[in-house]
Amino acid sequence: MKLSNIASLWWIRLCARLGQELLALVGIAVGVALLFAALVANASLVGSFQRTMDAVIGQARMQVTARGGGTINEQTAVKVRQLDGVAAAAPVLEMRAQVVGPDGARSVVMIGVTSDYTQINGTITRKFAISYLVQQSGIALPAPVTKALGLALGQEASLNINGVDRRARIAAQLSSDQIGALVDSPISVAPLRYAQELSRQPGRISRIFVLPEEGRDAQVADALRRLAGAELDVRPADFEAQLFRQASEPSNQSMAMFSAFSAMVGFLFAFSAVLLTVPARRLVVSDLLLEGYGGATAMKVMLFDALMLGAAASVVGVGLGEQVSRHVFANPPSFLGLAFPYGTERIVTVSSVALAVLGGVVASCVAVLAPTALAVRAERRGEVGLPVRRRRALSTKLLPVCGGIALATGAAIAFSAPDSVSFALAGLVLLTVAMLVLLPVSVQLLVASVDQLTASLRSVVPYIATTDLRSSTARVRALAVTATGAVAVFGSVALQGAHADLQRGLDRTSVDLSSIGEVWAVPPGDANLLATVPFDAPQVDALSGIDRIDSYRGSFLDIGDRRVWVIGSPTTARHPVPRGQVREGDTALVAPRIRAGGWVVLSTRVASELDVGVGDRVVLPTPVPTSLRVAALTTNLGWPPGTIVLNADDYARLWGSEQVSALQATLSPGTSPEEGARALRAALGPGSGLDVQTSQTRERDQRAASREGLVRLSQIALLVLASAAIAMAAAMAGLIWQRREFLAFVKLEGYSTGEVWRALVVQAALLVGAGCVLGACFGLLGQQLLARALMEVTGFPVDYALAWPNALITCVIVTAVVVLVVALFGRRAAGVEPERGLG
Amino acid sequence: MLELDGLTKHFQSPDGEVVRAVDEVSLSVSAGEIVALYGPSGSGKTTLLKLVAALLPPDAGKVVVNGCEVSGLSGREAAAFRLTEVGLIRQTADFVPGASAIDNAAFKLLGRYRIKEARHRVEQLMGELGLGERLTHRGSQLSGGERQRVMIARALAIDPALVLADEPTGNLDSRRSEEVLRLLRRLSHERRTATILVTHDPLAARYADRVLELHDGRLRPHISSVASA
Repeated sequence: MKLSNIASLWWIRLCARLGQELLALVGIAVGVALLFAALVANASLVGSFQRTMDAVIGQARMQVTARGGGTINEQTAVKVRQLDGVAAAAPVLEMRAQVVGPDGARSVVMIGVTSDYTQINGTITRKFAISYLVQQSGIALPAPVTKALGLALGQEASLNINGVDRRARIAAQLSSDQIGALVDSPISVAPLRYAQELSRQPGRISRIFVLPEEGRDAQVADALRRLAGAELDVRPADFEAQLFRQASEPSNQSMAMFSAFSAMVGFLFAFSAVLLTVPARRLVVSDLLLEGYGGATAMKVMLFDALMLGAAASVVGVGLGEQVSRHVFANPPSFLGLAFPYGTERIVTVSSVALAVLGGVVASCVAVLAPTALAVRAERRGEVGLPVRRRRALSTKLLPVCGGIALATGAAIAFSAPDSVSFALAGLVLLTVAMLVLLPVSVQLLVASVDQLTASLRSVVPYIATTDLRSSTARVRALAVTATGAVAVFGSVALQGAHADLQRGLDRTSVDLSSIGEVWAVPPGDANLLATVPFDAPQVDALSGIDRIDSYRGSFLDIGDRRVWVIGSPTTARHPVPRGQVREGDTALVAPRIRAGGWVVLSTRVASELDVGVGDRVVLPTPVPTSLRVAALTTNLGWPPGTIVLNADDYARLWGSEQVSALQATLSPGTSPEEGARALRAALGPGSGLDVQTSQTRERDQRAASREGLVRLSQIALLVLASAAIAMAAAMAGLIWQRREFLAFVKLEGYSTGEVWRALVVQAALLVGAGCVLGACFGLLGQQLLARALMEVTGFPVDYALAWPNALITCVIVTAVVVLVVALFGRRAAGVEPERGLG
Repeated sequence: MLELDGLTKHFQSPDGEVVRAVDEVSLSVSAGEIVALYGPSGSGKTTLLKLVAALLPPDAGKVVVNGCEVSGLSGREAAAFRLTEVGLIRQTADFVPGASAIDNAAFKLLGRYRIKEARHRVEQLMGELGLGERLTHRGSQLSGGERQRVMIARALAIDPALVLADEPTGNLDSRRSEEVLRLLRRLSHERRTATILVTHDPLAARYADRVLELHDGRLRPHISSVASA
């Protein structure tokens, strides 16, 4: 058959059953949308930071940095520039700054540059006259930032740098024409001299970007290493991007896991939706074979159908996913912004679109062609009933045994609390397979139970409600609806449960970390939530209501490809290491050892990176490398790349600096935290530039940040659930619509509209409820495995609790939504004229 | 048992012409009597059945079953009337999907009896219809004749006052048609059920007590049966 004829045939049939095709299209589109939105969210997080870095480093291929986040002498840049083979060397001073305008405050990374910067040709300077800025005493900010803060060109803004308040003039507003996608990034550019003046670091820089001459990279790298000695690091220019990739990996892996769930649920949506159109397609196949066309032609006709359906659904799905990505996943998790500057830019890659479209087309092809192939085979043999009987024999004997084995193995893995991610994921896959395989048997048991329970009723309602589950032809469609609900609830319960376990663990860590000090004084800004900005400690005299003021020191330290969070607790801290986070080591000895000094606590990932265990000696890559002993191994305390805990005095020794990151007040008995905060605020004075917070406030802020870090996981779980409810409602509606002839027959026999309607509602409740209950039971087992897998992937602390209330609520809500939709739609379907049954 | 008095139903065709589907039809069918109704396609046979089954309201005239007028019933009342008083047999054996033969036969009893009781009530009838060994068989496991006998069982299970059979042998070969018609005649007589048999099957005339023809909505004696008489 010619392609044009196949197309004409498709068009004629499409017009005849537009409603059914639209339902199938919606089912596939929902799956594609979920997959696409998750892919875009993943690509945007890493892509946004990568673009920021690309813009900053330009064509530079190497960088020289100070160890431990410190600064180096500006003259080093002159020496670098003089090295043989160096084409350009651009000194840069980077610092965190809180910009305050009339309408709010925003944390930015300020980059101090010289005119040398133009030689490395970063996006920042490509279309923006840096030479003009260098002559100015002012800063340049992206236009959206100045707009959000209510700042105008030439106006003065307040800046807080390292705990000191400053004023700076807005010398330029950077538009997207000038800096492209960087316009959405939290950056600021200033002349180097001006940046040094603002930060009170004259003659200091934080890094030198180096552009070697072509083919002389190795030679320049050797020369730089000789120049750097032990105090400086020579790294690739894009090293920050490597660090970010590592830091965001747990988040991306979690998202990938969730995306896989979404794709699986999406495929089931598609499958159950396309199953609604199978009878019509089988009819076409029969007609074609009857008219003398071969099986190959029938398959070609169906393939054209599948491709058109898949393509149309993918286009709709990508559009829908775009909206989900814009409005639901609009803001990337901000917790990584505490150590890395990245913006809110959305990045849609070709691969994201291609994968989502491919997923949609493949789902459509499998869903259309698999039943068609069966139909062709059956038609050829003239044994229409045979495949059904064979399937039934398989489902009644072999499949339950396989399902039982898969369930037993999955449950055994869950109860053994595996430490391996792959083991936990294998357990999850086994549980999913077991659930789907045991679904038909469970539904058979349900029908038997309904028969048993309703045996004493004088009503036709339960009988009609279960007819689809008794009929071999209609059962596949009914089971597809049930399976969709089961998978969606399974995924949602497991994901929400694991998410809640992680969240509880992080909440407990927030409490422990904040309670190190009762009142804190830190440089302000969202980006300083972990108290990592160093400042010179002001002198504070004895205060009434405050027993003691201690120094807390903290920062980020790059170890290998990890940006590790370092916590330097005061030597007087009662719990320098958060309780309950110790995974290895004597918990009773950890606190006294840290207080005594010479000991360090590492998170497990950092320990394995450094290849050390409890009791071993370790030399950290700090400005003053010093040997410490490992007191214990902990979780990562919610910071994905890992953490290090030591006492504040050891920190000062290792960093060779007396600067602090926070002042911590211990209150006198009877003094409330608010009173203590007021007293400390008054003692520091209005111009101190430090923000005074109670431990409760810090705990609340940290809790909010950690929640934000996990928010996408719960967003996806909710989206999966909402989509499942929509898909099931649509599939149920389609199922009912196809049964109008049967409903007319029931009414023709004398049953009332009310009885038919009640039967439809009961049918929906049984099909969806059964799927939801089964999914919830498996989901609770899945929660154990997923929490394990997420804990291993993210390294976060986990606090287990069986999420049965959540499972129950999920079941009730999904079933209620679908039953409600069916109740409304069923009213119309039940109103079918009985004479229609007479033919 | 069944009285049709001046029953009339007109429709308007798309081009505005009035079609007299059923035109002043009067008919009386007594208990246990089988009336065969012949007529070409479009003669109004199905419309007449719909009027008798209270599926359509007449434009004029009335339908009285067992002394009760059914032509003015509400939808709910009409449904109750069909459930308790009318047995329907159609050309295609409409099986309840996935249901066994006995459940199909007992289908109309499920609103009044527990399922076991309903099955028990039709078991004997199924035996009389020669389906005693096929009670738990599904539709796909039965022959065409067996399926049609299940339909007869379903129609008679409620002990109806009236059976309306619309081409019950349309899909059967002559041997099976005769078998079905013989059973229908026997059971109608035994159970004192008034039966209207709408058909094209010439065999039906042999098993009917009266043979009529509907032409252009009007009822008249069937010519061939008059001739044979």
